[in-house]
Amino acid sequence: MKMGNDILIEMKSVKKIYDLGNVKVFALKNVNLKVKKGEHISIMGPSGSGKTTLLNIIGCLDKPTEGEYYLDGIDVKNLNDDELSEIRNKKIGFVFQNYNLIPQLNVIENISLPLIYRGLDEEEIIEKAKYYANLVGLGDRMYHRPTELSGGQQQRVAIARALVNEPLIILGDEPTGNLDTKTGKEIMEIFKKLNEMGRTVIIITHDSKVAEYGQRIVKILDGEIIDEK
Amino acid sequence: MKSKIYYFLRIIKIGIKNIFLHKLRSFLTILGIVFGVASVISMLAIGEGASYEAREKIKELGSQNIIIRSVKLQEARITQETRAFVGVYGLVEKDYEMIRTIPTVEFIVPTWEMKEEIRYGDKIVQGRIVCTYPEYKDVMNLGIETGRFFTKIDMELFKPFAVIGYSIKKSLFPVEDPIGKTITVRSYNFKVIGVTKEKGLMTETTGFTAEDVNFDIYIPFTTGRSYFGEFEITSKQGPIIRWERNWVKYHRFIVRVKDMDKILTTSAIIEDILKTNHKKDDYEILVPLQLLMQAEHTKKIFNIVLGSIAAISLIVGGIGIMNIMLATVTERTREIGIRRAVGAKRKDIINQFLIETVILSSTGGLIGIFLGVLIPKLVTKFAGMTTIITWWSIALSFTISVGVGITFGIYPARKAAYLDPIQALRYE
Ligand SMILES: Nc1ncnc2c1ncn2[C@@H]1O[C@H](COP(=O)(O)OP(=O)(O)OP(=O)(O)O)[C@@H](O)[C@H]1O
Ligand SMILES: [Mg+2]
Repeated sequence: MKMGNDILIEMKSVKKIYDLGNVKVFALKNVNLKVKKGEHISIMGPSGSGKTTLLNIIGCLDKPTEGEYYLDGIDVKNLNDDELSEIRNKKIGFVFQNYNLIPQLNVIENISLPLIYRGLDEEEIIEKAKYYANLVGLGDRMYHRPTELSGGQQQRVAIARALVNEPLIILGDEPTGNLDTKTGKEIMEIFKKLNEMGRTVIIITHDSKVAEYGQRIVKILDGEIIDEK
Repeated sequence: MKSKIYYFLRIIKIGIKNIFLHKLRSFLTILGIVFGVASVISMLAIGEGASYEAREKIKELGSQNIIIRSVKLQEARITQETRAFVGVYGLVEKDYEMIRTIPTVEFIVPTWEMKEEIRYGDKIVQGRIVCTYPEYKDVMNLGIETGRFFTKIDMELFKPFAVIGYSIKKSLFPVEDPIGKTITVRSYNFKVIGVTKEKGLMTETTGFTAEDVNFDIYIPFTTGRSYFGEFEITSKQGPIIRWERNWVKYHRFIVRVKDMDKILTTSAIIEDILKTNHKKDDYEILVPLQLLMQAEHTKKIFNIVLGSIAAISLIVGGIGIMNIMLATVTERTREIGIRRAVGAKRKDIINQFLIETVILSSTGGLIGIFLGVLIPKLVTKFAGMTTIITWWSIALSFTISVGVGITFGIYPARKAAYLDPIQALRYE
């Protein structure tokens, strides 16, 4: 492979255009981005600049309108819906600002979700879900519903869910956005630890303190990367 | 393989959870299916019962038979003959001869009957004496419990033999063996040579009087005629008991038709013959096959009516379910987005919503089956109709309820599966 094995994400002049009929929204204009395995990257930028759009493309929830995107050497453009689902399942772990847990399911069941779609055996699912519940410090809350948990605890469940399939990349779209500073810091410590254990972590944030956890800060403005450091 | 089972078990568990989350809504949603399924099962049970009754009746009367009975008319009593204490009614020799020579008639068995006391020792029982031919046993499907039926030779020799019905035997010979014993009717003695098998009573649906044939006693026609003649003597109830004498040549003809297909034409011919021979309507023609056809016809109409009700409630029920599932998909848009984000494929989403719809509809089906089993039982209890619940009707209606779930669930499920994951995640 010409890029070398340690390049996990490679984007070449990626564009995302939303065609709303009479207007076209250029959510991403021309994005070139490379991320190595094991990096911790922060994405910053004003509201509406295209951060979520970029993260969704990285996470294979969405496809670029134009340009090339290679994930772990795979050309995402040629994948169909099922193949994209499988990549999301095995290689990606999403953490959202609003936690996005399913309210009818308890902690263990929420954490189990990715494993179900991977088709594991019941015992293995339960075992793994419990392991990750313990890892994020929710060993005593395994049978609680999301509504019975604090924001920080809910976000821990979401992180456990993102980790349970041992993905290559953890993507966080303002994961601390709804949390107070102290809880946010706890969550970021978890991400830091994960990164130290070898996971690639990409986090969107408006908070420069949170951004400083990253080894690199990517700044976006109007759908373009304007600064990397 | 094992993981697939758990995968579906989880989906089913979540489906049930979601249905119980909205108990009232789910219950109202499935009402259409409940009534649809209940009416399918009740309809089939009532229809099945009706045709069972008809078939039983046919068995009793013989599907290849035409039965003609003499009918005593009310008005006959005020004619001159009545004042002279003698009436005339019913089937005559001319009828017998003409019907016998119809080409499609295999044979004709006449009877002459009277209600009389039958005595043995100090025991007395009221029975019906049926003077007839040996073929009577076969055309009426009489089984023989013990002994034998009389034969042609017995008849030619004017033998004083009697074959007694099951209930007569029980009354006169509770412990003894009746064969060879002598019973007395009026002043005549008869030797018991056989006992017929017990026969079930027919239920009444056609206005044709069913006799309790277990109280019949059969004797050779010739013997009966020489003993009892052709006068029927009956007591007339009133302030004072008066005796009425009627001259009756034959009480019944049982006509056996050669070919099942010829029954209706033969009965038409018979009707013509009787119409020309009789001035009054002192006869009655009964075609068992026609009874069956009437029953089948009633059943068909019944099936069409209830079938349409069932179909309409199932379709309305299905649309109701679809409506609720569409609402559910909208309510759970975010959940769909989350599932898609963690790797659910479209078919996983389809499975989930389709199975949930099928759980809903088949729950309706189960409640419907319960009602559908209950309703025929109530019909039997309060309307006295025979109903038969068949296993296949339960299987059929359960299959229908699952089918309704799949048919009306596929659209909401596909709608859910084809939501854009990003839009679904942004949904508030
Ligand atoms: N589905 C869509 N249809 C049309 N326009 C869209 C859609 N999704 C995003 N956009 C537009 O694309 C641009 C980038 O949106 P995006 O959500 O990526 O911004 P963001 O940087 O994440 O902002 P925020 O910090 O507020 O989350 C915005 O102008 C937005 O209105
Ligand atoms: Mg955003």
